[in-house]
Amino acid sequence: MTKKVLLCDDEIHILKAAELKVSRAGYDVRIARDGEQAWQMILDDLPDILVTDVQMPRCDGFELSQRIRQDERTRDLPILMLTAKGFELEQQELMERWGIIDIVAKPFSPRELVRRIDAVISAEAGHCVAGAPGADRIHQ
Amino acid sequence: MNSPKWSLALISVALTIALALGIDWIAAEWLGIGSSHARWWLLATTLVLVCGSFAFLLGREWTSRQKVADDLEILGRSDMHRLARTNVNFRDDTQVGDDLERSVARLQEKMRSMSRQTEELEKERAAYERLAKSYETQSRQVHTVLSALAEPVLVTDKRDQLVLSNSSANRLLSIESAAGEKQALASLVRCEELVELLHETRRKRAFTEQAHEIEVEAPDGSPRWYRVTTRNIPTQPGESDPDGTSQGAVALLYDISSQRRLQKRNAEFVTAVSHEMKTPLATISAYTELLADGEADTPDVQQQFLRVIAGQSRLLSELANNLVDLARIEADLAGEHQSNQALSQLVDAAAEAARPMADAKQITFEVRHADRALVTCVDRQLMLQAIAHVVSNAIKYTPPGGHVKVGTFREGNNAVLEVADTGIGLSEEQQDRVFEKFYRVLESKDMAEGSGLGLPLVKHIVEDVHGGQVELDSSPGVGTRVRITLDLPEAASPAASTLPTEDQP
Repeated sequence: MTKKVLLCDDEIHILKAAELKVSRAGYDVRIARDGEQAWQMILDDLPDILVTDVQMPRCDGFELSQRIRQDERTRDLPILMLTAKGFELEQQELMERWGIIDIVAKPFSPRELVRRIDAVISAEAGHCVAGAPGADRIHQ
Repeated sequence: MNSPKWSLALISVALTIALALGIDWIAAEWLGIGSSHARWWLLATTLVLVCGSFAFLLGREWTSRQKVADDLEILGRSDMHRLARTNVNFRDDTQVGDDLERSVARLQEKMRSMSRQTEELEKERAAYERLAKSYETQSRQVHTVLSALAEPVLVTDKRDQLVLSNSSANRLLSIESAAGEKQALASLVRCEELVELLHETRRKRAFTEQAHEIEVEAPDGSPRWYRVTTRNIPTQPGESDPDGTSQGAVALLYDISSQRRLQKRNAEFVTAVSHEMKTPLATISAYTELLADGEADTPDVQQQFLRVIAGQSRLLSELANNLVDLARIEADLAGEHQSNQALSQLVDAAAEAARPMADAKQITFEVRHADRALVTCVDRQLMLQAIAHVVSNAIKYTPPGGHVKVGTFREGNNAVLEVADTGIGLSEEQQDRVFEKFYRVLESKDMAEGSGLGLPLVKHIVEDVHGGQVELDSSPGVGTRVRITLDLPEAASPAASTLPTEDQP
């Protein structure tokens, strides 16, 4: 079954480049322009992974992560951050506080982005095989 | 009179009687004076003579003693200096014993030496008084300097008690000045860091100077940053020093809040610039990789990718130029080349550069000058840039087929430039923020690329460099009107600047 990737960024060119590369890697890609739009799309159809920017209008990447972690329906959605703030953010804090799985720093390589998405998806699949709690919710 | 003197007197009386009897016998036997009457007269005369001489001698003795007593009385009552000056000499004829005279001489000598000592002490006292006066003056001078100082100053003693604080310190640290009574600094000042610094510095034996940056909460609750320089007051030879430390410590606080704020703002600015640069860089690198990986499978898509790369490169270069302009303006380097310029010429030059973009979007682009001769005193290069920003913004954010009108006119003592468009417009919240650096309106991002520095730069150029004003009036979906107001140069003659021209509508 094709895995669903939701890409969220306010820069249209970056979004388009990522969309092209990730969809050619065999994923079902959707795009959102800000956190608010992404949240609605997640509620409508839960993706297998969310790739989001941090600095966005309306609802930023942190607020989006918080909403996802606080909601029963979305709590286990893996989040990958794609951000220009790569060097300023404490990876440890991001992981503990917002449940961020990985960070890709801008400027980024679309090839590398696909590799990281692959890694997260296969790790989740591993969890699924091992019957990790909540894993079924992600894939339902 | 003591008993030996009495016995002397008795012996004298006995001798007198013996003498009287002897005279009587001599008169009777040798002189043959038979008449008892004559013998009585002789006896009486002799006795009177002897007693008289005796009484005279006794009287003289008594008088001399009385004189000595009187002199001693004077000695006792007189003040030391008069005594030392007065020569207490007994009259030559005063018959007092050598011992008494020697005692008096010794006493007087003692008096003289005491008098000399007293005089010296008095001189010393006067010198000390002068010194005390000069210290008092110095102290008043120091207090005046301290209270005039904007920098808070605190001085503590060897028990960490506050001995001096100027009014700035009292204000900042809310110190209640308890007159006369020294109190522990820790009980007067809430800022523990400062108390600890003064304590630590005071504990050092050798001269120490330290500088620290501390945060102090001002009385109004706002956080302020101070650089605190503390120095101890080392113990001098002769000063008591029970615990082997120094005599106290001094703290001078220097307000660095504004520097801190500036540093913070600079750091934020650099972070924002870095973020703004990374976005076009990320786009360029991503599309370059897509091209290299052969992801663009048709020549059309390749062209599209290359256009994106070229656009983002232009954006980076625009960002770099704007940054340089901002830096120049903020360093006050701009505005040195102000000269009288016809506003119409500046606007025409900017409009000329923007016209191809308007034509490409089929936008009706009008430029009207009420007065071609309207002159403003501006830095030509910077003002041209500001006008170009406003004009190209209007064209950028107006959908194809819309209108952009540019007009210049005189209003009182001002030259006014207005740029009105039928573009996407801005909400009130967006209007408040468009002059912030790197603020970009989401809806406008897809319409055109921008560095996020254009309008802040316009505001800087018009308001900070030229003392003018930028106003923005907009409603979403209807359009935006930007108005730049500049002072007319004083020399500009009203007649010359209001002459109607053929451009007038």
